[in-house]
Amino acid sequence: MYPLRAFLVLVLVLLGTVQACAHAVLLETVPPDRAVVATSPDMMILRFNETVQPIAVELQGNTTGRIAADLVVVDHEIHLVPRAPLAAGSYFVSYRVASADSHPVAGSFLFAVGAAPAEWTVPALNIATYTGWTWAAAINRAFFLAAAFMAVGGLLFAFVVRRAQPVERVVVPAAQFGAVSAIIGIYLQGGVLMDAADAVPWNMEIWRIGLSSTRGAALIAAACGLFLCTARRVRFSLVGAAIVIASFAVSGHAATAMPHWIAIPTLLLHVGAVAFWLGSLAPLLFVLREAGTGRHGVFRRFSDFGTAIVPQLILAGIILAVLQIQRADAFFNSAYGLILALKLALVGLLLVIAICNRWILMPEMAENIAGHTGRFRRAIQGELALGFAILVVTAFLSQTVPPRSTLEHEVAAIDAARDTGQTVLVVAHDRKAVVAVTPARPGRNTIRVRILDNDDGVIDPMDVAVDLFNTDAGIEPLQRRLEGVADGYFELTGPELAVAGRWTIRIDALINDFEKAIFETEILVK
Amino acid sequence: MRSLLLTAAFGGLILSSTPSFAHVTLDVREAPADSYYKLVLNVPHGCAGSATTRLRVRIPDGVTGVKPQPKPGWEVATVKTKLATPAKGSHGETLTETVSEVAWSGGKLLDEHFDQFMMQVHLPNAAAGTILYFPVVQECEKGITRWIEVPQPGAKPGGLKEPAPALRLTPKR
Repeated sequence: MYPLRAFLVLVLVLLGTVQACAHAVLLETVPPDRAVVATSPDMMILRFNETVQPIAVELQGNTTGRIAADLVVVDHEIHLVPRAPLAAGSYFVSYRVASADSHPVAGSFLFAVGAAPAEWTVPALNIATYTGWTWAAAINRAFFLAAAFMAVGGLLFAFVVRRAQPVERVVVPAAQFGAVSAIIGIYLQGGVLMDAADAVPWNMEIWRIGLSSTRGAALIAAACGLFLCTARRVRFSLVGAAIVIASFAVSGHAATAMPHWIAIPTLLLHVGAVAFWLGSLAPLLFVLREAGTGRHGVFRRFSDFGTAIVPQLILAGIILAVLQIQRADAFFNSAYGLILALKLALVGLLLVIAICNRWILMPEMAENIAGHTGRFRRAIQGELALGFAILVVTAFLSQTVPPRSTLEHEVAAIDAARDTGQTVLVVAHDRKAVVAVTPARPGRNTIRVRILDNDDGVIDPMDVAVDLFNTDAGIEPLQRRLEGVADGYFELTGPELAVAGRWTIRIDALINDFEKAIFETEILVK
Repeated sequence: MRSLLLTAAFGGLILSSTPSFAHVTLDVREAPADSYYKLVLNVPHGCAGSATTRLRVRIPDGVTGVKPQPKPGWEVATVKTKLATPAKGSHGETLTETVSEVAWSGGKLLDEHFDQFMMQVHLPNAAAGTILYFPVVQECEKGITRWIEVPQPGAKPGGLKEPAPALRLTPKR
């Protein structure tokens, strides 16, 4: 049975070395970084590889300071619409967003209206790796993990090892502590995302940001699950335990690692096994206090479950580590790899104790050798301490950027994603055209056009035609009509952009019988 | 030498005016502000070889007193729109509506023929250098050509494929 399972898991490991996608990445901006535009752009677009949650996105003039602008989130894009046209000068947009794995991502881009500045001034803007918030969040998370595992594991222990064990003494206080810690965690997560150095400690905005992040959602689910764990009826408390375990799939590195169909079940298996192991230790201490021969049976049953579960726990952990690290050299060259190595070392130590318990102390208990109770108690206390240390390391791991987001092939994948098209915003005659060309590579491309009025209202033109030409390659205008699809989008898919280079796209949008909006822009096909 | 210069000048003239032959244009492209103007549209060809059957002209804002000239073989019609703010006519009268579109239809102008379509208008009292565009939709037996393209403010009028006929105002006399 176990060799078979181990084999299946190994297959999963091999399959699991597929592409990963980590933190949100800014793929493209309009205007592009350090672009000089003739007139004030009507909006700035930040296109990410995934839907992000804006925390602070600001437009600033190099001389004028912050400029009032409205923020709109459209799919993977953030649109920043200044309330008044921008005067000539240089500007920068700084952004701080939360990605799906609930980590903050920050950056900026510059552009100028009118003439290029003598020198581009890059605003000082940095994202600190470990701030006070990350420390607080990591430590709180370690306590949350410990409490949640003790509650859930205590329930599992009561359910599968010894029903008679009164769970209230461990599970109820652990669940209550964990629920409180989860709620504190939401606030700390908001603080991590905002990097709210100058914020008041009790700030509603921090709560709001924390709540709307994926980690916030996971923590709410966990808090609800922990509350259910305190229920007297086994049915409810087990549902609560299941909710707590499932909440780990909502947020975090492992939950967002690709491919999901491997990462999420593996993560849930890992979490469930950890909870069972660590959560059983406290009830075992209580069992140890009892006199009589019955306790050997309890230890025997726990030990049998343990030997079945520990290999899966470790294999699941290896799969998750492979998904995050993906390559051997990254293991030693990144902070994430080093913290993970520390975790593995501690896990190794824990395993040694567990093996001692199984092969030395259990037979001693069976033969009732003098002093074995004290040794066993110390061993379990050691396991508890080590277990907590592992959770502290794990909590810091969750605040550290995994190397999968910095690996070469990852960067190549992001570059590829960045190249999957270009979006340009062209302004003419008080109207805007949003032109998207995908994949903007030689060959078959889709050109998608949408015309907006000054207030970003969609205009449904009577007809949209494009002229495509490439002067460098000596290609004369190719005239094509675009087909109207839904919502004011007009599309053309065809082989026209056949060679690499700078293509000019001229768009003729017939607004009414006598009015035509003409836009011209360049697209780089590469 | 002189003949060479003349040839060059003549050649230049031909070259510079060539594009105009291919477009629907105004015969006279400059007129004083606040004056009556005889607007003459040259229609040099049909739509890609097909005969012209209808010609619609959009009258720009500020142009009043529109009177199209009847044309044998063609029916002339106008579209009137209410003015948002009543304007003063050329004789001091108050105007509440104005002609916004003139259309000649029912005729047939072969591609190999040339014709002119005329109307009298009163030009607004605007600053010299103001350019008024008279977008034209040329409907043919087969196809349609829209002479309605207007350059971006500040941009040169060149580079447009099917420019709207344009009139430049000169100082008021």
